[in-house]
Amino acid sequence: MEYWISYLDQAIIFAIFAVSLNVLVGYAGIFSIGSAAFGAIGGYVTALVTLNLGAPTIVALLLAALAGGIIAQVLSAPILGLSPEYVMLMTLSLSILLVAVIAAVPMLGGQQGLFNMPLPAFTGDKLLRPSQFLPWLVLFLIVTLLLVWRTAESPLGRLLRAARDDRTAVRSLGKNPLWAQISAFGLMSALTGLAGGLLVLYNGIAAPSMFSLNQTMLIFAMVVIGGIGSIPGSLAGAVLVVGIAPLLETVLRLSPEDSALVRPIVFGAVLILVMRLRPAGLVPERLRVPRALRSRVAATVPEISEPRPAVVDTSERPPVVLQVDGISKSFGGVQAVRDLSLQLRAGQITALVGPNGAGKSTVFNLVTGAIQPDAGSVVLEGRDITGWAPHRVARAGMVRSFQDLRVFAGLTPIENVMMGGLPHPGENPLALYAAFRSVHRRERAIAQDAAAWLDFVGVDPMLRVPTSSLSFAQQKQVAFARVLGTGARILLLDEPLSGIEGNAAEDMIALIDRMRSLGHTICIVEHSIQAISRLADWAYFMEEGTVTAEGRVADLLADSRLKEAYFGIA
Amino acid sequence: MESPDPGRAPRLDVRRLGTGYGSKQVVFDLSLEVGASEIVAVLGHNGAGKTTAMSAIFGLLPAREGAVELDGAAMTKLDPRTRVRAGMSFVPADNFVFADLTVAENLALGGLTESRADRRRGNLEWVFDRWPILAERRTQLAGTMSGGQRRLLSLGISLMSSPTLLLLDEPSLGLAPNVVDRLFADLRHLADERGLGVLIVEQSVAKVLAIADRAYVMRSGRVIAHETAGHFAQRDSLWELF
Amino acid sequence: MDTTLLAQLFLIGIVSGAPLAVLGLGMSLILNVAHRFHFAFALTITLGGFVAAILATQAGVPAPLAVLIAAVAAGLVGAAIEMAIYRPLERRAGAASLLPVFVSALGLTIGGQSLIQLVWARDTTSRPFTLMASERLPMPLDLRLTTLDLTTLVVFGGIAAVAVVILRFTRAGQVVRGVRGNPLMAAVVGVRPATVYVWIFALASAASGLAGAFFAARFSATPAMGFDPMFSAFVVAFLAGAAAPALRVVLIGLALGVVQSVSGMWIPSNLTNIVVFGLLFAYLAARGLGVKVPRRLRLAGKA
Repeated sequence: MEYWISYLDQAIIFAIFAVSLNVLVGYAGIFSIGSAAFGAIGGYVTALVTLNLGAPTIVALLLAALAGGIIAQVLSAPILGLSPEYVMLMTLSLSILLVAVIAAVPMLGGQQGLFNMPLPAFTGDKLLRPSQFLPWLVLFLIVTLLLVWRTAESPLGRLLRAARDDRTAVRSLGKNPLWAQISAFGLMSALTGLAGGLLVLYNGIAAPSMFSLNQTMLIFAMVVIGGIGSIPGSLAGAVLVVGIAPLLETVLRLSPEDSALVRPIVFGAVLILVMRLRPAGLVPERLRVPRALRSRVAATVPEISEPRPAVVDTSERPPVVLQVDGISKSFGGVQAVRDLSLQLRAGQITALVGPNGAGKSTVFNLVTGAIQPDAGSVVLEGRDITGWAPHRVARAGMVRSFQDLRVFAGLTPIENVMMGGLPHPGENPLALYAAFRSVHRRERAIAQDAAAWLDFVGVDPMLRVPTSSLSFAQQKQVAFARVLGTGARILLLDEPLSGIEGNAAEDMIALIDRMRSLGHTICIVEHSIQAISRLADWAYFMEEGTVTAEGRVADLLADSRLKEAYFGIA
Repeated sequence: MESPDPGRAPRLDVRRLGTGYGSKQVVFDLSLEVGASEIVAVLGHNGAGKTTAMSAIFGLLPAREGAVELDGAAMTKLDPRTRVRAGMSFVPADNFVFADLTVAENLALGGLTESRADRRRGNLEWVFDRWPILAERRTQLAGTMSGGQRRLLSLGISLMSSPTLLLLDEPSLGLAPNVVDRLFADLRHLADERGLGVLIVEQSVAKVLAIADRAYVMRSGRVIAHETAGHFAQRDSLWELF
Repeated sequence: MDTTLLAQLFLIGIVSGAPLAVLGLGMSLILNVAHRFHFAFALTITLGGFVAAILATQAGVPAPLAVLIAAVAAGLVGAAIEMAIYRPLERRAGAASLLPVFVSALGLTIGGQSLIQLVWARDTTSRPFTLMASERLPMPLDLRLTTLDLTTLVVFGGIAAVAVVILRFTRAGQVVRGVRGNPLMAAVVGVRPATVYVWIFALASAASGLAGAFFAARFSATPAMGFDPMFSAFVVAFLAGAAAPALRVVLIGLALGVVQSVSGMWIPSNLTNIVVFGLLFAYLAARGLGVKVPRRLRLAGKA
């Protein structure tokens, strides 16, 4: 009986390893292959503190977690600046480096490791048999699961998943995922350190061979087989991977040495097969629709009584809300935008037209802070926002959509739109663990709002599918609901009609019209002259990086210079 | 506005082609033809699907519906290499030379699928003869040449495989007007003297209509007009097509 | 400063650097042309070492032939990995294939290592193997150079030289450089990228198997023998940069061997292999912090 319980104990310890890896890789998209490194840090800290300082067990474990967390925070700076493949290689080399250094330092016991540790004890009774460890390990697992659940299945978790899918889009909506990622990385590494400490205490020894690449592979197997992005899946994966050893020994009567070799062979093959045939794993990632929506209240979207006609009388033009003066930008010798000035007026649709390469999308990037202008100024409702970062510009009331959509592929439509919602305490790591009630209330309000916007654009808010599985036109509608959900009054739409035709294009034109009727100020980059003639109150013509003509669309079309620029006809 | 008839059997026959990227369909129900010695232009606003259509005709993008035939042979399911060997040549809108290889190496790669050494030599001679600047700079890295010279090189690369059909995507982009004139004159020469069919996507409407026989106009992924170049020139407003 | 010791370490460094130069070149092509995060390179190295050792010591095959067979076997396995594992993953997931490719490679390497150990190294974890009688050659300054050292230098130096020549002057080399620099134009002129990738994998893996055989001859074959050389290959590829000419990669490989060896003047010799990981870690950390480093590699689909 103790034989099986000892494997259960190990499964629990590895479940903690697996669950923390899953949150990092599956939820946050931080490909940190650091189980060995942080496990070793936690494990050796525990051993050293217990052996040399005679510290009580609980203190040793807390220090293990703390060590893991602190070192992770130190490494945050380089890691968050690297793209995924480099993160993998860096954390992998750290793992191997750390274990190799530990093995070479005599004070840390070398290859043999540190042993002769006093038996662990939490409440006085010394723990010796597996069944004595079990209740304490279960306790640690429960604490881990609570922390992980709160992190992952929360507004913070949603922010992490959105940043995993598309970081640029997150920032364009006014949110900065940096602190969320740093705190997730720190917390998960602390849990990994804790697991390392538990492993050392359970085995009574801290040795380099316990934190090998072999181990890392098995932990990956637990995550992958169980399902990337699924916490229950990782628990199942841990039981499966650990459980196969006793199975091999009792059923197939393999010796412990042989089963230690067969297990990696089996799981190596399983990893390859799973990646090939069922990459989502046993338990696919949950598709989330907030429970709050089950009892929906009336829409908070203002009623649209009568669409306001496009302004025809130029003598009485609405006030300027966005003033761009003389901005310029060159990329490595090529002048993309030259001394460009334009104005957006309240409640109007302004169009930017021009041939390919004229610099229209660059203007959007410069104005929203995605790129810094070399010269010139951008003034939004009287405030100088020149050079502000994208998320600050979004908070100031100006948001853009992207030509290539950039919807959060793995999130449901409602989650996509909720990401656009105004600042949320639930996305702040500190508030998340402290202010439960206000987080919950905010979440409800944002969910209602998001549902209303999805209704407005014509997409079912209760859809429980990944947004990437919708048709392109529907994804575009979700993207629009998302920018509307930010509450920004000034919307920059980059090629809203590209990729859709026929009825869908008609619907889109009608939607943009409705958006204007709500009082939003809209600027669109479009190529279809037909669409622009129907929508735009004012148009700017761009050539080679600067504005060469402006006016009402009908006037521009009659301009022979424009004809020449577009068609080359004199 | 009659749809002009190319007369003899077309070199390139595209029927009801549909294609796109991922969940986004960009080209719908596209049909066009190019005959030997013909220059056919494809016009339309940006984002109309012209480049996407070209990529699908050449095989860089899979066709979701419809068919592509070259000289009567079905090409629809075949990869670009097979189409090149069958006689198609493609010149992309940007990134159209191997920047870190020399001019000579670029041209050598262009002739990769031409198995006959005598034809390869002949093509190379023709290219160097027509554009002596390329011969002068044969050991220069392509990336260090001017935009116009690189364009000429890209045209040279496309001719090395002894093509019967040329597909060109916005060849005039970024070039000075007189360079464009020379380039277009070369295309007309290739069509007339070597019997090539040429399908050309262009922004510069007036210049391309000067050398084209026919033109198709695309909008939002579909063909909305098909006329001879002469008829186009007679139109008083082109805005309604864009 | 003991100049004789320095000279000796330098010489050892060149000898150990020659296989690293070839491994680095192979990895550079796999990373930059085929865009695969080939974490299973260690497997083909280890396979080469064990095949050579087992054939020579247990099957009575003459040592040079055993080495040749080892290289061929490794080449075949490498090509199979690309065709059967990496390529289907990329076809399905495109740019999102990074994690699946890495995880599969991880499973392959660790699982493969355990399989090799189970079959060939169950009772003894190391299989020594003699490629040639290792005699000292007469050298100035009484420096130590054995026949094995010289053979290593000649074989891998030769392979490196041939590779540099092929890449620079032959049609095949132009094709490879073309695919590396502009995959679009490569497809346009009629190159089939899949075929090029398989060839690169086959040749790089065969060279890695050859290196494994030589490592086995020098140190004996052990199940984990492939990791250090593989990480060295990664380091060489990164330091050389994305569009590096073959000669630069080769020289950096030699330099790495020298640096590792010469560091033995200050670090205990059993720690010198850590230098590689330290270098890699430092390079990546610097990169992450925004310090300017050689032109980046692009992996996983973003051609």
